[in-house]
Amino acid sequence: MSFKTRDDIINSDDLNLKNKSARVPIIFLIEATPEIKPNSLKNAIENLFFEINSNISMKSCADILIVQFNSKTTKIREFSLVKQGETLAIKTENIKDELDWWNPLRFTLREIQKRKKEYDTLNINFYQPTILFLTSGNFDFSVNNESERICEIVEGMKKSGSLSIIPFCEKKNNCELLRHISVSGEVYSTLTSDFTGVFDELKKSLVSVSMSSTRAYKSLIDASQSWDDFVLR
Amino acid sequence: MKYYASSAVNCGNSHIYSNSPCEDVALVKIDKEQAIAVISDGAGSRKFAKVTAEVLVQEIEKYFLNGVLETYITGGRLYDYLNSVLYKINYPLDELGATLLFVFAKGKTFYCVHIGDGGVIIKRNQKYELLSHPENGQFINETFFLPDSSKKHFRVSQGEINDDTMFILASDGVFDLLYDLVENKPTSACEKLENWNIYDNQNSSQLIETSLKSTFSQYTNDDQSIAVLNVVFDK
Repeated sequence: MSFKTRDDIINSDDLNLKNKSARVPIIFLIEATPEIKPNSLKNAIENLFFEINSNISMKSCADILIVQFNSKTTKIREFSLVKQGETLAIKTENIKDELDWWNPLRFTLREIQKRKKEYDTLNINFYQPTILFLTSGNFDFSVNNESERICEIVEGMKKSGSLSIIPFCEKKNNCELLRHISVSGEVYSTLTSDFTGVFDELKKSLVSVSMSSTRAYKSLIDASQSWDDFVLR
Repeated sequence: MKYYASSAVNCGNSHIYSNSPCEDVALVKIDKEQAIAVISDGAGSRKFAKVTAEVLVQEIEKYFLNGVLETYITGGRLYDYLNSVLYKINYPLDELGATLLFVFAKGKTFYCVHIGDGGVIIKRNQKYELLSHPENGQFINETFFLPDSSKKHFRVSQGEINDDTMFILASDGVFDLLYDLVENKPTSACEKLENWNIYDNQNSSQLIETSLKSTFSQYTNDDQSIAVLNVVFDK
């Protein structure tokens, strides 16, 4: 063996920069109430989606799923955005039974599993999802027989930083329960034009997930630097 | 037989932005006729990730210096001992978590122990191979940690050292930059690491640190750590 001492550093040419395509799933699960005004929030999220994906490479992009549910009409609508400028699916599902808080969450988890299978087939890296559950506080989050199992799942997801429940408080009694279930312990303002808290929560979730992730997130974090300006627009 | 070792850690941008501590810990040690290279990467989702990584590395160092590490590995007791240490420290268990990878060389035998992501590359007979691969969970950014992952994820392997051999250990975020897992090929960075470690050993750790700061950190937001161990036979 004949080695020479080299005092230069390892540079980019020395590294493997081949990056597998990746999808970073961000799911907004939004309860449709007059206070939350899901359509205006949906528009804001769509703009956010363009903001994020214009800042990251085509190989690694955010996969934003917006699930709206209406407790009065027991309907779930899904908007799926995968590529910039492209709405892939708008789907409506009727929930036969009375809609409770675990139904839309269950629907969302099922959608994530479907996507994961699809991306696995295509050999695309699929990151841990970030779910932001925006709810009015009208639901009773106390545990009963049916919701016990989903509560365990929810706790596991919260612990791993995958789920943030963002309550928009209406009923006083539910506030304590919601505060308990929220990651940050905050109950956000119901002011419809102010989404700063929501986007802060998203930013926190992304930073938390990014601790153990690789390159796809760097661009997301970079993009997030301008979110505050964006939200105030 | 001579040992050469060097290592470095660099705090990732995600921790710099959030003003939080680096959660990677790396250690190399040469003692008489044995040497060790260790990396532990604290779990970002756990509050006391850094504490976990530090405790694990300190324990491995202690077992190494006390001469009991080989017995613990071959006796299948290391996983239980490390877990019991984490159970005893005064921190909430569900807030602890870190990966662990180390290579321990003693005489003509080496042991590789690994739980979680990151990886270990070996060079022997002039050829690079993957010695221990990153293990992920359901999603690409999930992995396995001590204290709570099951024993089946605590991977132990053993091999012979019959000629000059090099081990490169790298944490998540760095490993796939050093080694192309799809093509199963090393990068030229591995050659540089070997040159520095053997022929410029005094400066080697500094050179690795500078490379992490100026180059690797462009491609990952995560903390970065590399440890290199060379076993060179007297010619």
